Amino acid sequence: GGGGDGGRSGRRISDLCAYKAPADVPHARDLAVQVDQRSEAVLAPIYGVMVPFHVLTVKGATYSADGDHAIIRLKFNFGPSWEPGARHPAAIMLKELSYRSSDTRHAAKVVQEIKVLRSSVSQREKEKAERAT
Amino acid sequence: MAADGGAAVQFGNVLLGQRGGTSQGRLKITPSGLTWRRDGGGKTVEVPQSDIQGLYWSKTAQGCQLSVQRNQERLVQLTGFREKDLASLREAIAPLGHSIEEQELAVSGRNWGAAAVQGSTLVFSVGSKPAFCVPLKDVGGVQQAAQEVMLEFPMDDAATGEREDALVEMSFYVPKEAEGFAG
Repeated sequence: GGGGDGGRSGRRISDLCAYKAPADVPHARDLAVQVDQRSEAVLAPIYGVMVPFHVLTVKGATYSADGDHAIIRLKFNFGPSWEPGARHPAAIMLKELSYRSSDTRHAAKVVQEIKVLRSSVSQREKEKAERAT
Repeated sequence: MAADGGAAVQFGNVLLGQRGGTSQGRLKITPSGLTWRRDGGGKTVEVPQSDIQGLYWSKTAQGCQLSVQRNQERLVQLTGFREKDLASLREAIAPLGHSIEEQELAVSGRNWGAAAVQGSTLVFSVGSKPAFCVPLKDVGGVQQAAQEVMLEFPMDDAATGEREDALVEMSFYVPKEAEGFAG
């Protein structure tokens, strides 16, 4: 049946690997949320380091204006019904990250980029899983 | 980059990692401790030798990072070092009775793993490697629900640059089966 609980169909989310080594993560000029299209990852600054998250761990991204600032909210997949959660029931999962950005144009743009990348990668993975069955 | 000045060794272009980006300064190491001073003044971070719990060296896309874990005060994360600085840092740190442990950061892009509190630091690890660290002293509020822990970071002291995004909230899903999150 259509993908379901893995089997032979496509790769599992729990096997995801955005980068093999820290040297493969692109250097960011600014410590701002950004997208690496090539590795299909969202890079989020946490205390001076850009921390990558594969776009398939992202459940959604939202943008909201807050006066002259903007809030970027990244929501991640989690829980026992998500494949990595079923495989690792004791795992703690990052559920959400919120940022305050003084550059509203950047905030709106990066949220849009995350949404577009997320839907195209999810669509591709879905088709791959369907072809495999 | 290191320059000898008697017992003190200094490193320039060292970035202090903060919630909202970084600021650039100089790191000075003496047998009594570490001092980071912002270029042009304004901010100083002093770490006395007695407060050092551990020193870690990691490669990042933003240059090499020295993390100073402390017993009492907040974790200090300094980036912008070059790989070759490790040898001179080790030499400068040795009189303090500490060594620098190399630690590879997790970059697999996964959001599931383990969280543990070490001293005053929350470490989120993926596989056996740390993915990121948060100084708990910076956390303004903690909200706990059935299977969720939310950390709030206050806005006031954020020295955020124009092109930088400041972390304001972080939440974790903590299943009943999870261990180690004694938040």
